Amino acid sequence: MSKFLFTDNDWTFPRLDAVTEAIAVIAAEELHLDTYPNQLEVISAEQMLDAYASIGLPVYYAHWSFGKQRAIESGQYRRGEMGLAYELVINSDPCISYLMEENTMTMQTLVIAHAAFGHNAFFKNNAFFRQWTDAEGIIDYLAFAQRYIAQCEERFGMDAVTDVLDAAHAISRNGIDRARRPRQLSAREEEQRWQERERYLEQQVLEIWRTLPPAHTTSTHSPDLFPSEPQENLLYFIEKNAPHLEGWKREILRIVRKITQYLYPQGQTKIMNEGFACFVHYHIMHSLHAKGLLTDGTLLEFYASHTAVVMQPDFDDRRYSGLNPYALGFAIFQDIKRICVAPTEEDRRWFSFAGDPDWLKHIHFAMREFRDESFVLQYLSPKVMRDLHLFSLHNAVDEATYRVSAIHDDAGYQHLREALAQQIADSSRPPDIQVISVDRWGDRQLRLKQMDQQALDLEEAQKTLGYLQELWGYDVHLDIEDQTLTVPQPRSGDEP
Amino acid sequence: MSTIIDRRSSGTRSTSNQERLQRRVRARLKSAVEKMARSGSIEDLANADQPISIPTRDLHEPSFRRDFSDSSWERVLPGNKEYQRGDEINKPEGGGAGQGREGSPDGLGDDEVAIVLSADEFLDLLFDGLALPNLRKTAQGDVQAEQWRRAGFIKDGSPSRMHVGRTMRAARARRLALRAGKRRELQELEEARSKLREEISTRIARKEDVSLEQERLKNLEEQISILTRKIKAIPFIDEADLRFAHIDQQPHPITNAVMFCVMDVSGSMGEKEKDLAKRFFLLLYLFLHRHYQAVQIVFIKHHSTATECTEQAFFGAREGGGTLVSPAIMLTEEIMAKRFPVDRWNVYVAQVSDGDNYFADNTVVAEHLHQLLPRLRNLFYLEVNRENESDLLQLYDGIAEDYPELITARASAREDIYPLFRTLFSSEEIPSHV
Repeated sequence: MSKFLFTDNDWTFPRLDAVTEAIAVIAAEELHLDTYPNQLEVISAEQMLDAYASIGLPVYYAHWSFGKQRAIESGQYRRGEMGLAYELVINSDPCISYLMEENTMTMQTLVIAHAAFGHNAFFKNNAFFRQWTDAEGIIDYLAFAQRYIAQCEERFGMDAVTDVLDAAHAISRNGIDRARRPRQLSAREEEQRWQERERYLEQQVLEIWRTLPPAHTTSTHSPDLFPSEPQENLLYFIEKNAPHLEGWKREILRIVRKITQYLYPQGQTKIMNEGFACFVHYHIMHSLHAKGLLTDGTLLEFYASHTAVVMQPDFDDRRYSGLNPYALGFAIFQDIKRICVAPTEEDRRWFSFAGDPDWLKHIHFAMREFRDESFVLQYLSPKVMRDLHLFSLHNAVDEATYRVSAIHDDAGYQHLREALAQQIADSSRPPDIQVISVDRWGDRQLRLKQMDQQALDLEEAQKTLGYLQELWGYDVHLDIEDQTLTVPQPRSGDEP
Repeated sequence: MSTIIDRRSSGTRSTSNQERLQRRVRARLKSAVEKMARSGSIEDLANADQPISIPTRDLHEPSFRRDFSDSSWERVLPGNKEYQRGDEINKPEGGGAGQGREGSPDGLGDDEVAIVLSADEFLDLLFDGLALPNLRKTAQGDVQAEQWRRAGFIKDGSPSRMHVGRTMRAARARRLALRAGKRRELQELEEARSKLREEISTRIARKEDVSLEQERLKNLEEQISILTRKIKAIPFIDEADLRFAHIDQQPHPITNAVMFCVMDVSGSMGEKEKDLAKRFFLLLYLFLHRHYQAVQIVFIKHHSTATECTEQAFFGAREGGGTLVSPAIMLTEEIMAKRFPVDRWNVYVAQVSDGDNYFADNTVVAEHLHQLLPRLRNLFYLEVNRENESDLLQLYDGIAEDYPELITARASAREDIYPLFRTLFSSEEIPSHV
């Protein structure tokens, strides 16, 4: 009797069950994966587009920008410019993975291995996720956020809520405490807390201004600065310190901040997360085939999809749109295994663990302890650079040409590695803009300063300042190197 | 451990985001909708989902971000083929690092978002400010067709409609109800009798006197026989049990409508007049479309003769010659009689003309209108682009005094059409003309 899990390619619920079970065995026995319980949800293409529009979150508050996102994506999808992802997975406990109903049974198998075991294990074990997100509480919190914002729309009107959300979204990328570990979320506590907070804050709106100078001080200008040190989390600072913000608006800022924080690790671990999931599905699919559970035909179909996913077009290819995180991540993880199992002289020079037969230990270590930037810095090997034919290009503003600063040769490996890590760091981090002072004794203006050297898109920055000013209620200035940006004029001239 | 859930039936949840998006770009959607109303075909406008493209700059979401165009950077790229360290590569012309995408088939570039409006959303925008529910109410009432419908059961009716099941059920209930008490009584009596008989036999065995008991036994048996008779007398079926299926005549609204578009295509009707006509017909069609399940349109163009034609021919045609209105009215009557009997259709006629009519024809028109009007829901007459009222309009106004179904109006510019439509439908009293 054949042991094949399926021979024709239509998926059915019993088959999904059987496949998941078979994969779970391999994941546990061969890869020692520690995962959250899985919840697989079969959805249609339309629903997948919905999920795209709300960053994959199953529950999300309503905002026009999600509608815009969906309009763009469904347009591209209908025109055939964009294929939909085969899967989408949410960092929650239980871990929710979406399977598209259009997928063949082979694809569903691949997706389950990739998302429900690969990503799932990554979510549960990667240090960054462990530190920044609470998989257990997120769905409840999202439901709370959705409910709260809907209530606000009812009480204060859709337009008022939209204004606050627009402003909060504008500065949301600067709403993260990079240096500090965030508090865990709990929907119920949150709900109780906001009610108390709202009541309290409404009585205390002017709290920070009320600190009158002591009688013996002769100058009205207090020498002590507020804030006492620069604050990088703009959302948090506004939420706590804006002089006249109503309680519910503060709560909305808090919601946006919390959700941004929850999503933060995903942007920091894209290469690793996808790379690890690809590594896992690659191993599992082969193992299923080796056990005689998959037909050769299934394996061939899998190869076709797999190669399409981890393909890296060259820079001069029409299809090129940056480095493919799937390709890079998969290549590095595969290479870690190779370095353990079949190291070359070169590997021994570069990696202390080369030749250690326990490759799984090193894969797990890499998956747990890094984020993209450090991962590349640690594990990008000469072989991978050679395979991908990496080279780096340097652009100086005042020169007429680009200069090739390094290629995949002995002289260039180290430079390439560092350049790529820097590039990843820059693209996953917003400009470093911090609050440096509030003129508490004067006109209450808020002063921000750009702390890094990179050029800022001034037009964008000015518009963003406009939003900040709306929330803050008084003038907001931004110091950039040699100039100060302000908001041009009050947006509506009819204000007294 | 894993759970598999089928979510496909729970549908999409994008409506609330969609609604907010449309709210944000309402002004732009509105002007796009009006533009389409001017150019599209009448039926397409009301039926199809309308994609409208909105420039993304209207929906821009600013944030603090880097500016790569004007600064030094270093980037790692894949796919090196021939470069060596230190090679210099010319910067692309224009200095832009990004590559623009070529236009896609439907003309949407990167900087545009297509928003798809449903037919209802489209109309809401088109009729912005017009209270649509109100529009519905003031429609001139529908033709009511009578239809036989089942209407429960009654106790009286013709034998042919007797409902056996219901009747038997009623009979059984009645029998059960009437018998139950008597049966219980009978049982008690019978028990008493058998006891008495036993007593009699024991007394006889003991050679005692039984005359008194015999007397009581006789008495009991008499009561039993009366009860048995009474029970037997309960009829198996009684007149009161009879049930008849009832059918009733109920009014049933006809949900089909037909709209006759009648237009003068003689030389005096230029492009501008036709544009006014089209807007008017469109609005009317859309309005009817909201009110009825299905709306058919018949286009009739006329100059000195009248013909039925397609929409393209209708708006495209420009024919010379004099103008006679009566042939168009007669053709309308003819088509109605043939294809749209008034007991099955709600018939609307919309006529646009510049008012030119051969003078002698007016009496013929009046005569036919008197026949036609009682069979119509409404006849809308729009006179376009004319400085003073024509004889034809005065004639129509005269008739309108007797027939409220006839509604006349004048318009000379595109902007007149919306307000005109508004007054036609949103006020209780219908103005004779504007």
